[in-house]
Amino acid sequence: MFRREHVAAFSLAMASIHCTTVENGPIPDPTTGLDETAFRAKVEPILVKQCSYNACHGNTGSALRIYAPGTLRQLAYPTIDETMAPLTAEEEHANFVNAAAFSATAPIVDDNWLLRKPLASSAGGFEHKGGVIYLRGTNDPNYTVIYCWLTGGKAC
Amino acid sequence: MLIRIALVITALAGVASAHSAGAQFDQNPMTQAGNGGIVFDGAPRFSGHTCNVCHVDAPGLIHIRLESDHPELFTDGWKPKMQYHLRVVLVDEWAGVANNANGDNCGLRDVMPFKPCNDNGFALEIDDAVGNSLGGFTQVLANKCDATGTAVYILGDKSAVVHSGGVNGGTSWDVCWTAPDAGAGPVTAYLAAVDGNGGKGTLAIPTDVVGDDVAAGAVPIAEAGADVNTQTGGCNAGGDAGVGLALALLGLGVRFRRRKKLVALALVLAAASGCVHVRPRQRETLAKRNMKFGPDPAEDELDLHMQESREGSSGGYGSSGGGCGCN
Repeated sequence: MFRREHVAAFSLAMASIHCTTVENGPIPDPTTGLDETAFRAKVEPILVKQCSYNACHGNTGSALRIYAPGTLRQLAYPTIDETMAPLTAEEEHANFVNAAAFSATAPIVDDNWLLRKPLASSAGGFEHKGGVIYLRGTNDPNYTVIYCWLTGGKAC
Repeated sequence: MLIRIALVITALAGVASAHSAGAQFDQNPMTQAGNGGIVFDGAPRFSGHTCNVCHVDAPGLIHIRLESDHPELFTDGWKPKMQYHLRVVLVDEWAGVANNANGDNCGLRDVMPFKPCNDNGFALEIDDAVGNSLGGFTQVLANKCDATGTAVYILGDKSAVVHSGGVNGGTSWDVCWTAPDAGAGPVTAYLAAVDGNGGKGTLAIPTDVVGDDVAAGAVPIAEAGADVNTQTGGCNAGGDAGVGLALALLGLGVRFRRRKKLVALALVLAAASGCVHVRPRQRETLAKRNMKFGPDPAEDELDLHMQESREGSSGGYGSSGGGCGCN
């Protein structure tokens, strides 16, 4: 048998549960503080060379979509010459936004997926289907260049 | 010259290459749609990636084989500074074979009607245990190692070799490899091949990365005469100790004739003193009862009792008790 005190406590607990409205405010622009010119000069060549292949990030189904000559293009070009032509300005900007987007979920640069995911598991990497890309860990030249860019360095 | 088959490799999966010319592997990825030196042969320096990072959805029906004019390369190992004539063979080609009929003058844009090619390709490199490319590649001309050949494309940094793209429907590629200096240790040959289907067979898309097949594999090659055991410490002698002993005995016979017995005897002792790495399959023999110094404790105890009674002494065998009359 429930006592009155129990019933009262239960009623109070039920009364304290109520729905609230969650405000989904705008997230900060992840490209803020990231230099697009430095990206095009230093980071984009790394991503195009290392990541842009068809089975990897050179397809539309990838979370990190990388446009690159000869692989993924914004438009379906009818000829191979057009497919292999240098990137357009729009494609380069899209690559910048795609790469910068990981900053939205990783306020700490070391945890940015561009850096952490392709590391060896012993160095903190995890579940990168393409395996270990930074073969020299956090001392890998590609890692240091991308790290520098993510920290706002323009002279990377 | 006859190239003898020495070792087989494998079969995996793959596609027709957009890199119909080998030089494209060296070209700038941003401005020339090149690979910037990445050849995707499965080597560790390329994160183990093979041609199927581009040539997707390959059914894996083809195979790839590595041959050498010195088949002992794959059994005895590589010899320092020796030059080997290698051949990479694509086996069971099926994609684009109908285009072989177009001959080598295919894929030309100024020749109408357009004749599609049967573009096949390969990549090969030989690395040491830590993934650094070892030795040197040389072209083959008229079945001989000759730097003036053009049968394949050697990367600018000499780290790998790929197809040159000059032969339509080619399924084998020759290259010479000069082994490194002694002491470099075991190496691994990483190789991959693409069985291309000739793209869409049109002037606009003469080559692409779909509808092709891919194979890749790795061949470990020991250094001839080197200890192949990979022990991390302790005894450094291996299964070749017996060979050393035989050589030493041979030396002993010669030395006796010259009355230098002491030197020869020292040679024998030195060769026989090495410890041997016991392999798992050999442990069965060591575990047998008759391999033990004292296989039966009860029997040992009886023998000990008899000895004590006979000699009037006891102890020294680990058994308890002792003294005269303590039976």
